[in-house]
Amino acid sequence: MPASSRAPSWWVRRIRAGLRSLATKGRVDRTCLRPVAVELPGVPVPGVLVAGGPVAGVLVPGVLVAGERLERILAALSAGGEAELSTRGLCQTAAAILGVNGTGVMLMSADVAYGSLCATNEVSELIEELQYSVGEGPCVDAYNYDRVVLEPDLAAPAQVRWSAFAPPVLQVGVRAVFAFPLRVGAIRLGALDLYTDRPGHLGDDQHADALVIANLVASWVLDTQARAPLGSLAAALEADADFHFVVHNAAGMVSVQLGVSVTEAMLRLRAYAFGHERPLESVAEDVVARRLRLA
Amino acid sequence: MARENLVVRALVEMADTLVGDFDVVELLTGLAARCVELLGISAAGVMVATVQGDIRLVASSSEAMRILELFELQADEGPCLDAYCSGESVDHVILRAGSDPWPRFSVAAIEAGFQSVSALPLRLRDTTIGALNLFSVGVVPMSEADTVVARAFADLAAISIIQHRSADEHQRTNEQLTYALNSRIVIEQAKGIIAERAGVDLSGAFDRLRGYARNHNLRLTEVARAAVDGTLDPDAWSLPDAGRRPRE
Repeated sequence: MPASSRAPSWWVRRIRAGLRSLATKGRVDRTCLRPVAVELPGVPVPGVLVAGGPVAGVLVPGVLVAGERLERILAALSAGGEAELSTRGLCQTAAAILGVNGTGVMLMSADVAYGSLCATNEVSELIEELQYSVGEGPCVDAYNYDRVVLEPDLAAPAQVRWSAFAPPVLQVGVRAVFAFPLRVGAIRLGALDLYTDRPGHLGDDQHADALVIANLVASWVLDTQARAPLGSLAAALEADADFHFVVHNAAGMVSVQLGVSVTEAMLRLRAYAFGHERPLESVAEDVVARRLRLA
Repeated sequence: MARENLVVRALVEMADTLVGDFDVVELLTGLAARCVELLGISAAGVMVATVQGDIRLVASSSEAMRILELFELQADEGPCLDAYCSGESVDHVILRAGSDPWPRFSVAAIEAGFQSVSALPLRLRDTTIGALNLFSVGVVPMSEADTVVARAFADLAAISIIQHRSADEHQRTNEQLTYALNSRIVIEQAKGIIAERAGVDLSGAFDRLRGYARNHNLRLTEVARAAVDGTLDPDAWSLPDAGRRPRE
């Protein structure tokens, strides 16, 4: 009997149903597969549908897990019952789903890190702020290299990196950090970072969940901004954000004090903060309060 | 490898190319080739309507197919056009030269060696955006399993086209996001510059910035950018009545 005359397997039907639903409704029924899992950056993760790995053994169950995984994550994200998701809610739910100590979302563009969209606690805030101040860390790498960045043991890394970022975060008890790029198609928006207070790799499930969550956050950021008045930032994106505006105030002031461009002034501020081992934000606050002049 | 595995692999590979900056023509050409490999047919082609509604040939599995589909467009009759116009599948029609439903197309198709055809609409919600043509040199219809897979291919083609079109929209939104954030940064920098030059606090600096923009009928971001670039007279900020000077 030729293979093609057999009735299609139920999982072929399921793939078909998922694609069909996406094509006809623009969304996916709860029980269907959504190809969201395959839109993720091409990291072969067991449990998420990706090409390139072994097909039959891993990907066939992968298809099923992907649909259920998405369903579970979407259910958790909408469990708050709020009409509008908040960035804080997104970060907190992400931390809960992933079972990590904290998460943060960093917004970046090609030539500048804008800052943090949200962070779940003070440690995550520090992780975000340090990366902004010193220009290195998991999110910065995830964005620049456009890939997942995993550091399961910050105290004893396989590859030494982040000489300015690592010591202060170790000091507050961070032992592992992970960052997942925020992407929508070819557009890169920043990165989602996670930390744990114990060393260790992310489990396959955590890793797969984080990929899905990063994808959802990225889509949500663009969807939210698309509804904002032209030229202005969506209020929901600013609500829990820290875009370090005081640093830009200080850069303006320093540029006048030193007679240099604001770009140069920003470098001087960073150099001062680094040289004095102080957070950039607090140096900037001192400049703005006129307690400090970089003359 | 079992046929289901081949089907899944084809779907996965095609879905995977939807990541990033993919080439829609390349993807649809691959899809046409997969149709021939997996559906027990002889040739496949994809036609897609432009945003303006003109239908164009985008991909073909062979040169003979390409020529025949171009003829279909020129003659303005054929299975692909029917599927596109009606939004319904054209299920396994055995061709008879010179007869209905496509008297001219059937002659050309038989000449090219084909005996039967099917076509599936590429649909998104209620809109049909194109059609997938499946031609066979035999007269045996596709099995039920093949029809299901063909539908999945057609849906994937529709999604890839839509995804490609919405990528432009996402790009614009991203540009707006970047613009909004950069504007805010420039305004904050300008506040710092004015605060330092005029010896006022940040909110006083913002008042002067806003006043200047209003009185000179300029946008806040423009004035801020000029302050940051140094293209605006720095003395403008040091005068207590800076914002209230009449326009020159």
